Amino acid sequence: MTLSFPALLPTIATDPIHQFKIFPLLDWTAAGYNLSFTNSSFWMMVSTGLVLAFLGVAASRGGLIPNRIQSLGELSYGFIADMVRSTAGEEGLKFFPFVFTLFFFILGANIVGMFPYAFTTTSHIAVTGALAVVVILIVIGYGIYKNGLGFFGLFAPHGVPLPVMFFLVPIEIISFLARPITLGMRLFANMLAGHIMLKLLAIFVVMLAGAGLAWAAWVPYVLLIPITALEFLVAFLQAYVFALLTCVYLKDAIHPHH
Amino acid sequence: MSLLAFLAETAAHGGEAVKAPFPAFDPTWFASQLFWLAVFFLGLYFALARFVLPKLSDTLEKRANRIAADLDEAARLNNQSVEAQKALELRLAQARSKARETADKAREKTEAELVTETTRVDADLARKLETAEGRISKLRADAMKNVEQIAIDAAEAMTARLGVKASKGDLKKAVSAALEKRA
Repeated sequence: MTLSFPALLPTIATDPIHQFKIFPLLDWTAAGYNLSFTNSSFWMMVSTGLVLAFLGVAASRGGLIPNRIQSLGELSYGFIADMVRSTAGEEGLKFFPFVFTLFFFILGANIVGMFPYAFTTTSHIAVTGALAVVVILIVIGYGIYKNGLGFFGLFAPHGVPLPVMFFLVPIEIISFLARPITLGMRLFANMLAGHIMLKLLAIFVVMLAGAGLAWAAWVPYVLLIPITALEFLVAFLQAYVFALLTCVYLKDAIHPHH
Repeated sequence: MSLLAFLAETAAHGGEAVKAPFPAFDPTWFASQLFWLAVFFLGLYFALARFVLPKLSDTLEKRANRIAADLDEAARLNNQSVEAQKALELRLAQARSKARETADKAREKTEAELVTETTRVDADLARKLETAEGRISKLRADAMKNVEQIAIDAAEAMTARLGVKASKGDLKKAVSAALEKRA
């Protein structure tokens, strides 16, 4: 059977970047800013809606003996609570709802983005960077609120001789300032690269098959299967890493002297 | 913004796409992205923090409390059963000792009755024996008296045959001495 792939081209983009393009669904300008409801906004709504629906259903039952979905919700609760407690300590549990929301927001966006035609909101630096900046602002804000100027002891580890301090303090400050950048960039780059790779392989399949090399098209096609599975793992892992690093940074805000 | 523009330039690909920046670095949609991110993230945060998470933790806590309460109840019932077992054993021991006491009493009573009966019978027998012995000794004495008389009569007859006239007193004395020697 030979499909006429060129005929499909208007609907299936052969451009790996096309999937990241944002276009408005509802134009809206407010206070001079373009706040249009875009495809990105739509899929963000879908992913948060699905997360909320899942957790809402899981929580609303409240049964003494959980069913499957309630069990999953409670497992998620325990998983994140344990992570916060073991990384940031008991006091870090203040930020449990925030870390929980972060994890599920990113996980939902990553997983929804895995489905064809869906848009991966976390493949944009504006989104991941903003989340990272919020995390760092909370760390700095709470660190100063909790420890006053003692928070800046974070940059001057104990028991270091004075001459070394001259090198160490700038390094510590730079590494601290790099945190929001690496935090946001890690998630963004992972999602971007994964989706480009999937798209490229898919395009190879289409192009090889379209060029009459159906036998060669099998190679990228078979490769796509494990890589899709890998991308699902990455989708979970990046959400976990983001939440975990948030806990690690929160620990610094709670106990700046390590 | 100039850095982003530069990145967008370099990330852009293909001849026709040079003017269109790489989507992730296209500042056109930054405001929209940030605005809707804030809307959905804060919406999710408040929904989770206000309703979902308290309900989940409530359920978990309720379950933990229920399990603890059930364990306490089980421990209480277990203690109760242990106590009941102890009480039962106590009652059993009491009953056993009481039974032993009753049996001992009955045996003592029987033994006492046996002793009195035995002594009564023994005394009776002894009395009977005594009377019988008395009768026997009397009979024997009587018999011995007759024997003496016969011996005296025989001795008188024998001495008369021999022509010796012996006085009755002497004969009696001689017979008595002979009988005494035999006895």
